[in-house]
Amino acid sequence: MRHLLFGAVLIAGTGCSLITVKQDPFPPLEIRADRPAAPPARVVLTASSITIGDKVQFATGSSQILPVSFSLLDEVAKMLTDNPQIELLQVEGHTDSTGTAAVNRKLSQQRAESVMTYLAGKGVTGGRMKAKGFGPDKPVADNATDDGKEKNRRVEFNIVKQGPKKTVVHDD
Amino acid sequence: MTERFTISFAVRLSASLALITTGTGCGGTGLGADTRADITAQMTAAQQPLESCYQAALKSNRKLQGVIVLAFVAAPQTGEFQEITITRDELGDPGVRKCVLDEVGKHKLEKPQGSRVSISYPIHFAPNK
Repeated sequence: MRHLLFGAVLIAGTGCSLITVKQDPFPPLEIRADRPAAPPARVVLTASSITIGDKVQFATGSSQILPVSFSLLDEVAKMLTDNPQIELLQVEGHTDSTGTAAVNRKLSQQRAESVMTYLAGKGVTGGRMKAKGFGPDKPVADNATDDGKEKNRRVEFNIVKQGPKKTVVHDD
Repeated sequence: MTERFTISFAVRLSASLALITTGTGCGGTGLGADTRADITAQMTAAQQPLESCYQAALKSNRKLQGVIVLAFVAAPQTGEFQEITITRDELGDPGVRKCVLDEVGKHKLEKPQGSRVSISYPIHFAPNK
């Protein structure tokens, strides 16, 4: 009986703080908004090439790829692994006309090889790629202007050989 | 044997008393239909500004979505939404968190209760298809 009284006193003394009744959950307030338009893809596959909407950046006078370009090349690597029908891709290095053509050809060759090595490190089979440095031989703009020179310093990915389209199925 | 029976009975009686007490106006419990409707109306009033915040957050993260669950109280007499905390956050976006806390904190019950009302309320953020 003493226990009974104690229990009753305990509850009376503490009021409602000891036990709470679970309330029915409210249905969620639904918040909706439009997703902004997706940014244009930086890496696009065309019939004869993989075009990049950004530049592969190298250290000045060197074939060392700057980290800022890693994500761009990662997208190129993914494009290649997603498209096994591309059997041979030529990674091309191009320069502007500043300096001697021989030096530029050598540097552009080294840069193309550097890009190829990076892509191989990301899972692209080495046999699917070859590197070629053209130096200043294939300008796409006027070397008389800074803007033109900027356009001429570039890396291109041209498809040399491809088979019929194959479908890649991702596990995820 | 008698003592065990008495303890057991006391526990049951205690629970019953507590239920009765909470059902008659203690915080965080047994909401009436009118109060529930009032709370829902106030939360719905926050919908538009929350959509603006979410829209802004989607610009920096297009994949942002999920549920945020709020816990707060409607103060006695005034009905103001206070002590707002986030108990679950699947978005993890500081801007949306701040927005939710600010916007919900602007509201109060149309018909305040005599006692504190504890509320748990989920908000589901999802982009339009």
